Amino acid sequence: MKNPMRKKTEHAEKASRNEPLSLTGALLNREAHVELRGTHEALLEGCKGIVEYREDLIRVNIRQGQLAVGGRNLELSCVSEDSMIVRGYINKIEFCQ
Amino acid sequence: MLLIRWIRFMRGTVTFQIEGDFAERFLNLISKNGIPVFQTRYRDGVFYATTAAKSYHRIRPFVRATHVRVRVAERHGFPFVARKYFRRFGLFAGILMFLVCLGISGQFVWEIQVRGNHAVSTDAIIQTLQEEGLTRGRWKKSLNPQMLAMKLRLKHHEISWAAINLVGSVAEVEVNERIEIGELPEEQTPCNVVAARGGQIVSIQVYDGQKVRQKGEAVRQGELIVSGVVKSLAKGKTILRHASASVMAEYPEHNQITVPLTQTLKVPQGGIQNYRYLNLGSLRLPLFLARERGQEESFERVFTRPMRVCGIPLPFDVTILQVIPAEKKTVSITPEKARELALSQMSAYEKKNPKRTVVARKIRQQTTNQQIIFDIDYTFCEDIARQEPILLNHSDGNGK
Repeated sequence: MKNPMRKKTEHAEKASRNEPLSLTGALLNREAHVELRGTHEALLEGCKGIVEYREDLIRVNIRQGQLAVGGRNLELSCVSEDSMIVRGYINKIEFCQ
Repeated sequence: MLLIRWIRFMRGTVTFQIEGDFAERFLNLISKNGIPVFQTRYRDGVFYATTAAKSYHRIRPFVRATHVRVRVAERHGFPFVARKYFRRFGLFAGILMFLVCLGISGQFVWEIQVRGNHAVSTDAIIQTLQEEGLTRGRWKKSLNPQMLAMKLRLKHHEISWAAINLVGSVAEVEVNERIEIGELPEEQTPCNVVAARGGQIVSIQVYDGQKVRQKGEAVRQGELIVSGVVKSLAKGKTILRHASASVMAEYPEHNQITVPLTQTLKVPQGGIQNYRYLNLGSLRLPLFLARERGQEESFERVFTRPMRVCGIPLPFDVTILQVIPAEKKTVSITPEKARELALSQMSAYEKKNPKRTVVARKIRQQTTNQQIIFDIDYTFCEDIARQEPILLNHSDGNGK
């Protein structure tokens, strides 16, 4: 039996391969958009909600899976429906499927 | 960021702590429902988040839905401060009164600053302006700066340009002084050299004119020494010259210095008393409760200090009357001390006229029981030359 989730991910990957290189996806919130300012601030756009929140790790849902921001003394400076600003000492950003 | 902070302060913020297993879900729900959440942090197993004061009550349904416990940790901002002091009418009245006083006081002149003066003293300029109506505490609209500046120029010849700018509560007086050029010597005017005072000529140096007196001769005050009327032997004509010369002459002078051995002096006693007065315009309010004591024998000093807070002048100043009680005492001095005093007086007398030099001095000292007397016979040397114009075409006042 095929996993429907896997089928969906494969479909998304195939679609992204065929799509020409552009920022259209990020602009239309179809893809997560991450902006880093040094090691102390990160702007995450296209988030679908907080999955885990600890002092050293913030994991958020994105369309393609999950995005983990690791570091120390992390705090969410601002949270809105689909974006957030993470402040603190950031030493890792990881995409998880 | 400062603007955001200011907006948040004005709107008020509530910081609350979230405890429970589904804190993340709770945060997701409130952010999805348009409730602003900021400064979310996780410390020691507890989440802290901040929201706008007006939005705080909107989180209740999500608290119930996610089974978390929410407790207010801090309240900040203007709405909470205003609520705290809402019933203190006196405070608001005081603030209002302060603002009204501030606005009214801005309509008066509280400080006069003078700039650009060298020859004319600041005090003299301020004195003139006060006479013309520009005083501390004067209503600004009653002043005419152009007229005041003109009167200042008329009063002080040394000032060539003046302007008065009323900047806030400060009257800035800017002056420009004229550069005085000394009178040019009239080299062409015929004149004689006469003796400014009597004496015996010890040296004579003639720059122009014809010498009438010789070295070693004695002259009286006003006598001709060098004549401006010169006879030309070659042409047989008389020409008029601007005579000038340096005539050094010696003359005697006598001086007597008396120093009493017993003197009555006013000696200051201990216990300086300061009486302070607050000056508000023309009002002088005493800042003490005790009556001002009038000492018969006392030294008094009065000085006025402008009040400043962190360098900013306040619209009033304080006058301090310092009274130092004194006592009249008869003091005896030793003859040696009296001699020292006499010598210092003698030295001061000799330095009084720096143009003359002491050639010789003969001191005769007399000491009695009461006083010490110095009789000094001086011989001074001085340039006694004085130019006196030769009055040609002199009228006698009747037009003849």
